[in-house]
Amino acid sequence: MRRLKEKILPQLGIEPERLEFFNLSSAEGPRWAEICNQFTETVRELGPSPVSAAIARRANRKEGRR
Amino acid sequence: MEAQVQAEPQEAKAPQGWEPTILAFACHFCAFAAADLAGVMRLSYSPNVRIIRLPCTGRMDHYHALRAFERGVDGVFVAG
Amino acid sequence: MIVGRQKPLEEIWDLVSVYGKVLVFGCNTCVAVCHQGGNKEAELVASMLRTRATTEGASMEVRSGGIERQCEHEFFASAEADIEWADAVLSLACGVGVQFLVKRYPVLPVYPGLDTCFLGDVEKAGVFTESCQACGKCILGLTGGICPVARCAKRLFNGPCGGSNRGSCEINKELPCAWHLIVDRLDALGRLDDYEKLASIKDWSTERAGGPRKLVNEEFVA
Repeated sequence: MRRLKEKILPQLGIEPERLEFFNLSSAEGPRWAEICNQFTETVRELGPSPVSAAIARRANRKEGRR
Repeated sequence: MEAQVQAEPQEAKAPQGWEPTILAFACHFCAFAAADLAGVMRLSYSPNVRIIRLPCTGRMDHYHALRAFERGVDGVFVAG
Repeated sequence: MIVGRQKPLEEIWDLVSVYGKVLVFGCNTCVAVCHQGGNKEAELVASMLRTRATTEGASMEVRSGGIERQCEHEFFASAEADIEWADAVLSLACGVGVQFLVKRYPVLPVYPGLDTCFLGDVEKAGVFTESCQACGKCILGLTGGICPVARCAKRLFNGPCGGSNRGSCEINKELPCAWHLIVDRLDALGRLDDYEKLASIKDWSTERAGGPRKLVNEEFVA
């Protein structure tokens, strides 16, 4: 997955931090909740990805035309 | 026209009411079971996360994560 | 095998961004082994192009496809529909495959997605080393199986030269001196006498210097 983080995502302007890997066991329900919360916050701070921003712009433009 | 060009990046930075879309690829036997346990324990956690269950994270491919970003997902994590 | 390296997305985008329908076309033999141009990589590059098109606000349709080898007519049947659909093809094959497409489809725009590097071996996963230059007249039988044409910086036939230093080549310490390897190997084989034999002047007419080459095996030609 280094290929994605180091080679592919940077070429697309997508921060590598938007892709993460976690190891946990089936007994770690609270850790799952914590990972979800933390990762969501990390991504929230990064803001929309360039792709989702472009998709939103396109949708807005379509909205405007109507 | 110029004003519009300037306005767009700002809109992209902090659009009002924006919520990140997160995609999780989870192993059936560990992370997905952990997510299930979180449910049984009635833990509340970020509703932004959508889960795709894999038979094993060994099934994961570069292409799966890349496709998610291509479709506008803001963050991807793989757990297993 | 032929070793290649994917071009940066920026360069690929500049080549194909004027087209509405682009087929990213993998070649599943040599360049698939170096993880650069196989059918799996075609999927990735197609996704990268679609992503780029989205962020650029461009309307471009991108599909991925591929066959086992882009340098032989026999393999093309399964790809005809995809190629028919495309306005342009981004070939992830080596330069041979790209030009074979051009010969096969005279009016179809075809672009290279890879830089073709050399003929090499897989030293270990992810590491490729040049080991043959297809000079057309193999001398490995005389040099203990180590090629001074491909692996000596000066292509010497009666080496080593004075730049050989503790087994390394003077152009780069990381590069082993081919003639040091040859002598070691002849010694190990008990054939050091062969090293004493002077190599005659090589006939380079079979190499690229003799112009583009062609090989015809009459017995197979219909």
